[in-house]
Amino acid sequence: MAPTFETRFSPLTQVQRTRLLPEPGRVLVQPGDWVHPDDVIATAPRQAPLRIIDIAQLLGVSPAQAAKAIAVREGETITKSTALAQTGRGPWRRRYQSPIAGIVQSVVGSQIFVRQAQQTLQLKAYIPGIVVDTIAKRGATIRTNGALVRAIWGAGGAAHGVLATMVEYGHQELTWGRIGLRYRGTIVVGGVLRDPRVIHRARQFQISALIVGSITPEMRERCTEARIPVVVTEGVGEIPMAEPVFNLLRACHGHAAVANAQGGDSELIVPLRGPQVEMADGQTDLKPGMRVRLTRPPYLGLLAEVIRTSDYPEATAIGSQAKGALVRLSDGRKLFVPLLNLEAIE
Amino acid sequence: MSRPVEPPVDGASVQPMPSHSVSLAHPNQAGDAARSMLMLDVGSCTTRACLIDLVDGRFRFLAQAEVATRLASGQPITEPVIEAIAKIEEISQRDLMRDGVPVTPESEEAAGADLMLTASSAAPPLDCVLIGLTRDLSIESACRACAGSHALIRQTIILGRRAQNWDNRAIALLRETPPDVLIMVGGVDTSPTQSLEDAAKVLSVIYQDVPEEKRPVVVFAGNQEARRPITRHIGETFDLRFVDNVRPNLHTETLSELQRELEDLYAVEKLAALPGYHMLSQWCSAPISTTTEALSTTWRFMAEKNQLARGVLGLDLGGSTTYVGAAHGGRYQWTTAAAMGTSIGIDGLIDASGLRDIARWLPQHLEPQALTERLENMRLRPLGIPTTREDLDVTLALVRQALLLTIRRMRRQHWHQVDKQPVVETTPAFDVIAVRGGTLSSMHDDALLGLTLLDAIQPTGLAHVVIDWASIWPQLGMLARIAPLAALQVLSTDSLRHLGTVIAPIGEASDGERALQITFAPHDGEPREISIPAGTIRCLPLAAGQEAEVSVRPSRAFDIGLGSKGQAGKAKVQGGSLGVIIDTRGRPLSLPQDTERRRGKMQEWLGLMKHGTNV
Repeated sequence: MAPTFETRFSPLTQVQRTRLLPEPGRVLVQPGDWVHPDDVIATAPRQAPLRIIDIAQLLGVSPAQAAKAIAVREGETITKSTALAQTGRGPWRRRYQSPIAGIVQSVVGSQIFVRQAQQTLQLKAYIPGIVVDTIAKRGATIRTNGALVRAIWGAGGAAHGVLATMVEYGHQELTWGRIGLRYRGTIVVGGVLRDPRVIHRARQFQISALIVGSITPEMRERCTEARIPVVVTEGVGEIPMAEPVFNLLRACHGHAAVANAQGGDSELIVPLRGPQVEMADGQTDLKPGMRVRLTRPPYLGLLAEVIRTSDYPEATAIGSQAKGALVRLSDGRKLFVPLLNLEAIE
Repeated sequence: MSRPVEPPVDGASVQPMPSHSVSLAHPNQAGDAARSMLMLDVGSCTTRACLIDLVDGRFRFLAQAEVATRLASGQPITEPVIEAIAKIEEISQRDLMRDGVPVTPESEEAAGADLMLTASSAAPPLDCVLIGLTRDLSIESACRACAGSHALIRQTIILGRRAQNWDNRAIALLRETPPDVLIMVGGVDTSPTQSLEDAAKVLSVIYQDVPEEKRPVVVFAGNQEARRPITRHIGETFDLRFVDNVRPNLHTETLSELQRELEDLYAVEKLAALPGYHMLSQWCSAPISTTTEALSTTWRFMAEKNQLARGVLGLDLGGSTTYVGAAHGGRYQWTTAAAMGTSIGIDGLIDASGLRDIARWLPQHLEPQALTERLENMRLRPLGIPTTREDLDVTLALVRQALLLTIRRMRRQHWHQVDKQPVVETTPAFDVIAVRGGTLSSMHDDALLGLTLLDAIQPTGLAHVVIDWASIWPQLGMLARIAPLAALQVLSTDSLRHLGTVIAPIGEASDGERALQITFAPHDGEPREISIPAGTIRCLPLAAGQEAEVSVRPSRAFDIGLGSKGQAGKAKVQGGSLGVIIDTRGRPLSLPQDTERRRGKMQEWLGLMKHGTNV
């Protein structure tokens, strides 16, 4: 039995994603419907926001004084002009008007809790494709064909746009100077991300998402706080984007794509037309001739070809035993690499 | 000197369970009749399965398999379980499933197993929000309780004495992403309760319109006087639980009740919420236990069955969590460092100790930037294994630091109170040190493994060190409750890799000064007189299964675990792959500040572990 291991890249596969509401709601699509990423496929009532208005803080008085000044009661409907509190008399009278409309949920001490009007949560399709199934009151499953890059990390949520490859090679740095207004709404592809100004510019010019091979360690926190999706395909450091992945993204320059930057579940999908293909489940059998990526230092990010696989554990360079494969690096060196340190790359 | 260390006894000399161990083992009919057992441990990174069966009238460990757990994308917990069982089927050439479902009990055609038991730690820690009145005292105590449990504090809300510090951002966060648990603390017993009552009222308002199933559990561990009014305000809105006040008065700290409640909640709220959990429960012959609970049973079982006066110190180093437990004198003490481990838990480890403290364990230079990149990549690909010496050194630096920090927590939570001394900076003496964890179990270089454990645990006195080489201790803990004889036989025969016995005196002396005078008498050899200087490591060859009499006469600067310096002792010791290891580097171990000297010392110590037998 050939050992199975993780696959991170499929140039053409069937991608199926199930989109679910966090709360029960209404599903707006039916099996057979075609959807675009921005189409709303389900809606649900969203919790009404609850706001606190601290009268003591606003009037600059003690909580006890503020509590006496409060002029509204629990359950009362208020508008933006309702007087929430009142102090003094005659010319010394001070009123504090509500900045929001809603219902007074409670008054605790000098704090008024106001519930605002209910909102609606809209669930978008995320990927373009055909609805193959619906889940009552919760959502739907959508299917498309295309290239799938399962990234190692990401942050910032989902976005879609046209792919714009900004570098010549997968090892090149994505620099801020390359990002301009003409790329607004695109998914920008680069090699290495190390300059925080790239993120600043990307937000400034409303870039949809950034796809890079690697980021420097200090960029992780910046990416998390960036409020723009950043998808990292390889890891942390100066690791080039794997050649097959980069070549495909470069070939797809100008194609529509969707990116989901969500920790370890991050991905990039480039919907493509092609023959009917089977769905990738993230696992594949390891076979001689297969191209793999090495994932552990000092070989992290290097590509290799499988020469043979081992049915039984073999000794690694430091003597530990593991199942794996003998691989040939691009410089001709041969190595035995544990299965856990390999990923399929095509 | 302490009583001789006796590794778990052979199955042939099984004694009836002592009466005080009734809580450990409840042998039942199914357990008594069982001949074959399929046991699983589903961790956050790896799922392990093992098969036990009767061979020539004794229970033996027949096969083990491990697969990646991969639950991040909502995969049901049953999938890695089935995958692992399929591997066991392949290895053992025996059918254990029918139509993708494990078969229990064993059929007449010898398919399936009589018992299937599962332990798991696959769920993420409890997401907790801590609410208190002031930043010190109760909040500090509650933080310590969470640090020792499967719990992570997402946010701490300090309300102030008037409970006025709620803000819109905190409230929006509490409503939009409700935590698993809200821990309320504050006030010593008999203090005024108004502030806590106001806080309870606000919580009620915040969650009034949030669906009931999404509301957090509220655990109140504050002023006991506030229990009744708090029940009045929020008893109907929340699943409300009361535990002992973590600070009943200014001078007392009570953490155990809160910790116990958090562990129960972890099992019920997190583990049970994993996709596929209920299906897996139906397949199992007993309720699914947390891995830590199962491990605690194993270590208590080891201590009780072997009547170890100083008990067992157990350490479990995982990818995301580090767990330390001590079973001694009928008591069990433990601490869990959630989100602190050698892969997924690297972030927590860096937060708790800093990069520099990890780097100090490296025997070679690595730029901080390069080390950070390595650690980040190890976190992103938690299943990878080191294949070069440098990579292994980085992994072992993480191992040392994670164990060191968790033992330090253990010390602060339990040992310094037990010993009624000022903060004790040494690990108490234990008869057995039992270590497990994927990184450690798979290491082939025993000298490097031994040195790593000595550096991290810094044992004192005399202790026998065993490794869970097959990663089956949690499963055996589950088994010990149902079929103690089977658990005992497998534990003693098949599950222990004996590293050796450590003799480590407490004290300080200049390197080279005489520390110990030892008479070493192997049962099948000539006695030898050996003088060991301070500041070194020596290994006396004694193979696993062999025994020796050891007489130790320490100098006036050292205590060999008998409570006073210079006091001599005699003991029977057990061998192992490293024999008898004598560590006179002092306790607590102090590493040279100078980087080059430190690296030189580490290389020297490793050399002594490998070749330090010519004494």
